[in-house]
Amino acid sequence: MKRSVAVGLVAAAVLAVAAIATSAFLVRGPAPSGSSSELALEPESAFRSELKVGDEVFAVEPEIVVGIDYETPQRRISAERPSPNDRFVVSVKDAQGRELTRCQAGKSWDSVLPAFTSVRALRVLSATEARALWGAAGKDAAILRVRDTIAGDPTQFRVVVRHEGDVVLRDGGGVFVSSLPERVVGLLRAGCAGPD
Amino acid sequence: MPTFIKPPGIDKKGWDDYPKRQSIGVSRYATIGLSDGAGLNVSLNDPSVASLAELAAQGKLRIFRVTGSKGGNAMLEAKDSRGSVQAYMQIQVLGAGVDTRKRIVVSLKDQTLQALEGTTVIFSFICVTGDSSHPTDPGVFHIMRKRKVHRSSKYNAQMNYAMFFTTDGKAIHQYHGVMPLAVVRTLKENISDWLGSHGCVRLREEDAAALFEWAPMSTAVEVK
Repeated sequence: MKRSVAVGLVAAAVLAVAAIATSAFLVRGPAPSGSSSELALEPESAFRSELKVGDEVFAVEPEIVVGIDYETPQRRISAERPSPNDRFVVSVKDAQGRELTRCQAGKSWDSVLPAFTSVRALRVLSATEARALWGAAGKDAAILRVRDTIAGDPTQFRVVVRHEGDVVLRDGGGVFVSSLPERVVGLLRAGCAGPD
Repeated sequence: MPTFIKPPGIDKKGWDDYPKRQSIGVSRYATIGLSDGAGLNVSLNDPSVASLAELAAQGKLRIFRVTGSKGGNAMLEAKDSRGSVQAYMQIQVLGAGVDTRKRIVVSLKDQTLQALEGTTVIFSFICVTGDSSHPTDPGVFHIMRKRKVHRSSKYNAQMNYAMFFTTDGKAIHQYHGVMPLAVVRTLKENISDWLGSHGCVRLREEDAAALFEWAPMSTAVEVK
């Protein structure tokens, strides 16, 4: 009897330690991205990451992708399809969620999905460089979201297209020039105004 | 004149880069493009060696994915309506007679994960799987999404090197707790199942990083 009580006490102590350790873990990690003004004030330490050149940052089976969003404070462009065999339908909404236009995705959109099959880091910005870029352009950064049939959080990046045509993504603390072609982001941004 | 080429910006795994020979080696799959190939019928002359699926086009490229099924050679051909071959590429499915496919095997009983190429064990790691309320279901799955930096909003936890293998969100990923994973694994086994995951397969960070680099998309994940 005494032995079983002792074992129980040991188990309870271990579980208590585990609970404390777990709760300590749960509050760790970078804070979620905030508003543009908050982004501009971020310290350099917020841009530390272990990303390396050539890293496959994101990959998804094209067959399970059901939506791609490009969101700015002014408008949200969404390309959605009910099933992989359907063509994408593009909708453009304003900041209040009112639909401005809706159209069937044209042939040119066929290049959008393969671009997301594998996104790699072509160049990783140093923390100093990333902070400078985000301080200057973070307020204009859009949200790029890829939705698929896997439950849970969709894949989401913040994106800035630089004048030289680099598509720069921010993923947690990592800021990198991505393998996404500028043309593809341009098509997303154009919504229904893009070429067929 | 149409040609088969390596499309820019798409997966390069499986490529044997000899464009002048128009030849590729396929270990599991390769993605190729056909330029100026509108109106052509594309097929493999030996579909038992490899299968072919047409993906969404990219610009003027028609994109195809070739998936190796067994070792051997086949010819990828683009023919016009009269049956004349307009472009061709030699496909060599590597490892004739030898299964070199990558797969991941998770043992629920042993709380281990093995990475194999054919029958060769490349990695053998300890892991922690789901608790009894949130079990890691046995079965054969495959990697559908990879995410190097992943933070779960549901659990407010960092889950880097995430490789999702079920549609309900189960993934192999980094364990980021304070207690060492080996300790958690021992406690889960001997004291309380409560220390298990919510169905995901947790690995030590360095193990998760190595597996993430090694495992391409579509790698089979067997949970038993």
